[in-house]
Amino acid sequence: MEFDIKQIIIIIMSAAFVNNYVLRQFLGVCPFLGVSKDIKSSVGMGFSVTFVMIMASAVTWPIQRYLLDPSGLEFMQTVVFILIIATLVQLVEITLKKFAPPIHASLGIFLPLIVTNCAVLGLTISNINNEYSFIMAIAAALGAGLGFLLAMLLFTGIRQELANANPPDSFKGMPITLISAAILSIAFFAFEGVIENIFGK
Amino acid sequence: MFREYIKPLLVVTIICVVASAALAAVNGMTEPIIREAAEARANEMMKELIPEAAGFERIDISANDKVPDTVTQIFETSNNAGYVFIAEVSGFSGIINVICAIDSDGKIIKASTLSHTETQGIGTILDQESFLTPFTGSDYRLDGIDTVTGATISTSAYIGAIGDIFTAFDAIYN
Amino acid sequence: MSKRSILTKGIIKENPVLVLMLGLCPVLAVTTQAENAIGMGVATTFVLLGSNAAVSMLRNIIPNKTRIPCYIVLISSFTTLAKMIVEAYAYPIYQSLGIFLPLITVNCIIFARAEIFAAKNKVTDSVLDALGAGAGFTLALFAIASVREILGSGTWFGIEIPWLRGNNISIFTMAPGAFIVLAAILAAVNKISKGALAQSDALCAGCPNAGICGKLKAAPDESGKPDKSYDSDRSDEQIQQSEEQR
Repeated sequence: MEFDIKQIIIIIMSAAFVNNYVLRQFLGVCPFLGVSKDIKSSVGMGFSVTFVMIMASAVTWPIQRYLLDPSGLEFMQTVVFILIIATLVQLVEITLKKFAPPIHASLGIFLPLIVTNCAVLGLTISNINNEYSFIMAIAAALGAGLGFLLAMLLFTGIRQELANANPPDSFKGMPITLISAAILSIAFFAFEGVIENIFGK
Repeated sequence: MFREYIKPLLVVTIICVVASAALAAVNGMTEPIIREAAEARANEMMKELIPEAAGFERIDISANDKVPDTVTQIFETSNNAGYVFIAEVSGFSGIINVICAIDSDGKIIKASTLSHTETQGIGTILDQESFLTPFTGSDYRLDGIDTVTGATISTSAYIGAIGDIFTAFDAIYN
Repeated sequence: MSKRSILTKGIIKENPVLVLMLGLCPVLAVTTQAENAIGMGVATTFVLLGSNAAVSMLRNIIPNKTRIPCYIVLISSFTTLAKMIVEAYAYPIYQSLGIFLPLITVNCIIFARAEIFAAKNKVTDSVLDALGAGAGFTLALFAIASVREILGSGTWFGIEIPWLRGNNISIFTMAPGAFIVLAAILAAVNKISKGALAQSDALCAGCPNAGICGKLKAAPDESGKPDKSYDSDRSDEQIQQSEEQR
């Protein structure tokens, strides 16, 4: 497929906003609820996920295309992908530790958590399911990562306000957090129309 | 040395090998079932599009350059009741699988959507009769068929797929 | 711990979803219909059973250092098995579960049960533990899906409910509805248990996110070992190993 800039932009926008991984597709909900307590962690987690998503897409796509598909080993996809992601996360951590200690200091603690973040595995599998080209897969990773970062940032802001709220006793803690997530999720419906109207015609 | 390095490595390797072997064995058992079921579903779908067809035969299009890449499968009916085309296009998010039956005069018998991963809401238009029915009876000019406001990206991708199907039709049967 | 309490603790006292809030992604995503919820619950229970049994059987063979890659391989293999079986024999469910079927691999419940329970207990106990946790997971999914399907689509297991069918509130089938229903059910659990259930963090230690979500400091896991072991003891050598596995 030829390089189509409009299609790339649609993929990024749709992954980041309309099909936001956390709020619309429920991928990566655990870190979303667990880590979004302060801005610093949210930004750290958001950037780490974006970075790992791009790396993971860049590695898994050729492996699927040039290794699993030709040899008829498509059924090994899940096993191979999760191992790649786990290895990749460790390699990234070691590299950062050696060559960029300041970045490691701020992102390091988030990296091991990403192994079990279903957003990363979900993204790499859906890249294949959607039959994306390599560039499209990278675009989807960028969009999904930025969408995750955006959702984390917005939600952190809401949660800080929530700390001052006084809901009924049974709603304290997780229930009221989930209700706020629901409202944020409703807000993301608006992006559908925005992107339709920009790229529709 | 053995305890430190070789043993852990050995255990992981053995687990990997055993797991892969087990998966390969199960895959060998389930794969034919999955393939047969998929063929049966496709046949049923095609039967729905052309009820009077006696049987469907897939034709080889891999050597034909004029067939657009988006058109993945073409079937002929044994009693000349029409042709069935399956096309894949990228929509808003992911693949839209379009299936379309065309009679020998180049008119659409019926168009339908095999599967799509478009967003709930805007994407569901692709399954709705109000969008699909106007295709019936139309020829390659697709007169009177337009994108649907609010779902322009999905519907224009769909209409583009039908266009590609006609290109393939022309390439093979005209 | 008696066999019976091993089996039942996962259903109520340590319900993975409603009490420990693990594995929320599939809980929110596949609960639009009761049928899908049961399908997901059964598939997850299958993987849980397989991985718990395998980890428990191999617990004296798997070296502590490389246990994480071993668990990952075992869990993802059982997930792939489940995926193949569902695709071959229950295609409609395969289609509606979509990507969440392979994603059972990264469901924290399974990892948590392997790490906390199966790695330290006998096979029979581990199987019971898996059955309990799986049943608890399935029940929670079923409860959420029933509410969402009845209110959102006006059906239950696809059977139309007379008045509701025409007056369905479709937002319950969409993303926000999932959050709202889970919130309401958690609030109900809080109310009934007077907050007692929500206090138990016993399993939180098994979730890799626990280190960061702050809950862990309050409650170390059953072995008394802090969860940090999850990441800190993976050395370079392990990386090379998993590299070679590829």
